[in-house]
Amino acid sequence: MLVLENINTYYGYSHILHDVSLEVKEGEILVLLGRNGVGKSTTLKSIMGIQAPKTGKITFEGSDITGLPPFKVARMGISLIPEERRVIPNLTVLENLKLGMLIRGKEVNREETMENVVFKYFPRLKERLHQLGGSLSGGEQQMLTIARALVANPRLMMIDEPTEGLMPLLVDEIGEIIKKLQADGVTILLVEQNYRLALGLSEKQRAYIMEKGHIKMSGSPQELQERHEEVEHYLGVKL
Amino acid sequence: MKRILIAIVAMGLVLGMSGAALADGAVFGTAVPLTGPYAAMAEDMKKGSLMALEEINAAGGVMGKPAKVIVRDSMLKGDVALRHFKDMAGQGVKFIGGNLSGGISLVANEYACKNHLLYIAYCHTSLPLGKEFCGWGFTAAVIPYQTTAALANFAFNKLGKKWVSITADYRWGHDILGGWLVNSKKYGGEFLGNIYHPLGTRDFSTYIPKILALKPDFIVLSNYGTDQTSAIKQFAELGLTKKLPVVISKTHIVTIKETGKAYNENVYGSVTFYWGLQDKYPEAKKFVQKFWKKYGQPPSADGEAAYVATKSLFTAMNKTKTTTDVKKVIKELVTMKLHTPKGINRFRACDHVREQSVLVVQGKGAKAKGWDVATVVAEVPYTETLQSCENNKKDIPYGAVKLPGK
Amino acid sequence: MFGIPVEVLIMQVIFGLALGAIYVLLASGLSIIFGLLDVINFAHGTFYMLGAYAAFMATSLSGSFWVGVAASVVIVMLIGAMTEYFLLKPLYGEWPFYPLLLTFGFAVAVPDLMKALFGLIGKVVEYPEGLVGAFIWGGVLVPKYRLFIIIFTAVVMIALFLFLKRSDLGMIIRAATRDSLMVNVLGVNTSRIWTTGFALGVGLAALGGALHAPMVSAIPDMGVEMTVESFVVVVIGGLGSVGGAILGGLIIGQVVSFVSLFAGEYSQVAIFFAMAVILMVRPRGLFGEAGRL
Repeated sequence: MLVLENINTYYGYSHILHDVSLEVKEGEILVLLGRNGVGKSTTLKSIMGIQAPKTGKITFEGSDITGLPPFKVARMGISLIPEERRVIPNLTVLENLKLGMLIRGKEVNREETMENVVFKYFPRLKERLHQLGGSLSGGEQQMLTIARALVANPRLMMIDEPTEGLMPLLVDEIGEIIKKLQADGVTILLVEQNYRLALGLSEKQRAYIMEKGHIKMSGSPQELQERHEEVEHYLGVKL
Repeated sequence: MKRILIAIVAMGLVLGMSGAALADGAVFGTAVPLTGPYAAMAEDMKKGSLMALEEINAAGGVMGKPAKVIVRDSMLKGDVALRHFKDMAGQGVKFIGGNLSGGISLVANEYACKNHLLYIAYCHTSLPLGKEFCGWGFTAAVIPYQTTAALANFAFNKLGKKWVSITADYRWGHDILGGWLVNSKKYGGEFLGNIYHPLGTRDFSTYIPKILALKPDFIVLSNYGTDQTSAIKQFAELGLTKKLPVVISKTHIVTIKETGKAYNENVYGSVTFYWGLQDKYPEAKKFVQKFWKKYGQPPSADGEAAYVATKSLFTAMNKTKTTTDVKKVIKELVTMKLHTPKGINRFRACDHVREQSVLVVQGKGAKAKGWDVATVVAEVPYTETLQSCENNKKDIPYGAVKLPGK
Repeated sequence: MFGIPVEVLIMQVIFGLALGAIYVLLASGLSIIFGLLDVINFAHGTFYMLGAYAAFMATSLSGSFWVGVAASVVIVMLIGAMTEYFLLKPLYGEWPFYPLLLTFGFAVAVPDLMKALFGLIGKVVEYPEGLVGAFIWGGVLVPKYRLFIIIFTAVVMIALFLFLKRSDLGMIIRAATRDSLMVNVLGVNTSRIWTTGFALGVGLAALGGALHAPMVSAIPDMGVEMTVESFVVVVIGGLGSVGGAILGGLIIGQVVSFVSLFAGEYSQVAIFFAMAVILMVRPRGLFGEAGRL
């Protein structure tokens, strides 16, 4: 579905991604693992067009999306839930969700989407609809950003560290939501530091491990478990 | 480094060359505010001055060589004007002139006094008054109080006795207000109150309730340029100019034009020249026709004053056969007849004020067509407006007035 | 009060409102532009001036003041859109002062261009028929044109608020004010939103210029102080806040009006004094951060 071929991305003069190649297959959960600052978020930003790669090629469902501006990438069916959540604080919850739906133009029935998509996944947002985004708690903000991405009806969702800074109870809840999303047919590219959660989500999942801007290894959770010493070397933690 | 050196040397060369050029022959170095709120008026001064120069040069120049007028932009700032005068004087220029601000005019006059240059002001100026007068300055227009004397005669006799005034809060405005107060007493007027406003005011409506509450017979407006335009337009907006006459201490043909319909028959102002005088003076006709043809618009009072100043100066140089001896030229200027568009005038020997009339004009409002924007309703001779030299020297009676709120 | 008849005080309030209305129009536009682009538009007064000139031209061509005002807003919005698209856009992301310098340069160059095109003499826009004069209402003189400006500005501001609060585009503008990258990631072409927002902001300035034109006549330098004064209003209200711009404009209108009554010569200085006092109490302005758009 999504293929990255040898992309190299820079911030100014510093070379962040080195010949990164990866593939996301339709229907799977692909997890990007690695320590802080190895280029996981940059990979997502490169795909989204926020930080376009200098060389290399990104194709999505057969079309070249390398260097397209974010809004065009979004219109291809990719949505990004960034690390900092980025709920629009001066818009209400409802408006944040409407913002997510804009991309679908007139085809979308807003009320119906609210009922069938938002409240199905996030019943808790119902009572918060008219509150300002900035007034929500961290967990609620995370749910809102996922819901906002979801109402755009993407085929690929890129989620950057969704559980960061959340209470354990909420972490599990987020995990459940991701599983549900996959079950509903959304392909997921996930960046996560919580390895236990990230590798135990689904049967149909794979992982890549990054270090210093390079892809070092990849495989299914089982395969990674078999090579756990190597994995632990890259991640710096016990699996 | 090398490039910088070359640049400095090049600049030095350019400056040096211009210096040599400036001091050569008959030169009149002027500064007027070509940018800023009075730019249109300053432009007119420049045109008047250049037209006089052209006439002089067409008639053989000064002592057989072409004369020169330098026109610099004072930006309506005293320090900028002074810098230009210093620069020109530093390059040998001995005759300076210009202005549009009474305050800057005094600065220029003071500089001329100290450095023994001849200075001619072609705007309202108080330089002949009290200790300002030093003998090196000339007034080609009038002293501010002269216009109030002319207008007061008209207003207190024709419009009523009770008046309020709106005055721009700076030196010239204060001088004018003093003039009105003196003349009010003379003609039995009743002064109801004054409002000072800062220069550059756009909204005058906020002053109107207070004025209306005082119930005057007429309003005296003492400001200039765009301030004047805004004030009259806003009086008209309220329907004020339909019933309540407005008397403008100093107006300008450009202001009348850009005020439009609002400058109607109930609005009066003073100028020292209006092109309509061409029906009265044959000299005016020649001047107006020529100016209009050359520049596409009639000359204003400012343009006329600059023309007279420039022409008189070069004529005096020709007569005395010197382009450097300032004292000789001064002596000639106060002896000779000035052939002006308003007929024969003179610079009064004792304080160098041009002996000329002041006009009272009336707006035409909706009947205005093109540049036909006003009617001359009175021409008051200088004998009725100008104080004696003794009075001017002591700055009485005008200088003795106590201004309200100051 | 201070021996001043109450009618005079009421009139003072009305004149202050009308004066404030012009500030409201300019400052709300300036605020939208700042909120969206993070650029203090030094050319705001220049667009106000262009608005007055466009009104002059359209009024003299069509013979109708109303056509003149409408055309002025449309023309200046187009000029604004082109300015943003061709001149400002290439400078975003570069050194943050580049866009600022550009608007500054625009504010210097365009008035000179206007001098070359239209000359130094002011252009007259006459008051619309029917709005000249005043009616007396309980001893209070109510000038028709001022009343019209107050009502018209109120309508425009309500429309602006409805637009910002109720329409999708308004919602996008509000969102982009806070986090334009995220809005872009959600599939909105924010670059176009910036152009739209800039055009909207200068359109409001043009409306101010067109409505002000009959009161002052159009001259090339008329925008200079207006830029400074509307910036003061925006600072009082809180940078980037439209609500703050409205409140700030109304406050400044009343300040000028009442200072004119008691000490006319200080009416302009009072604006800056009011700003200093308000900033001492609320350093981020009345509607500071929290109330942005």
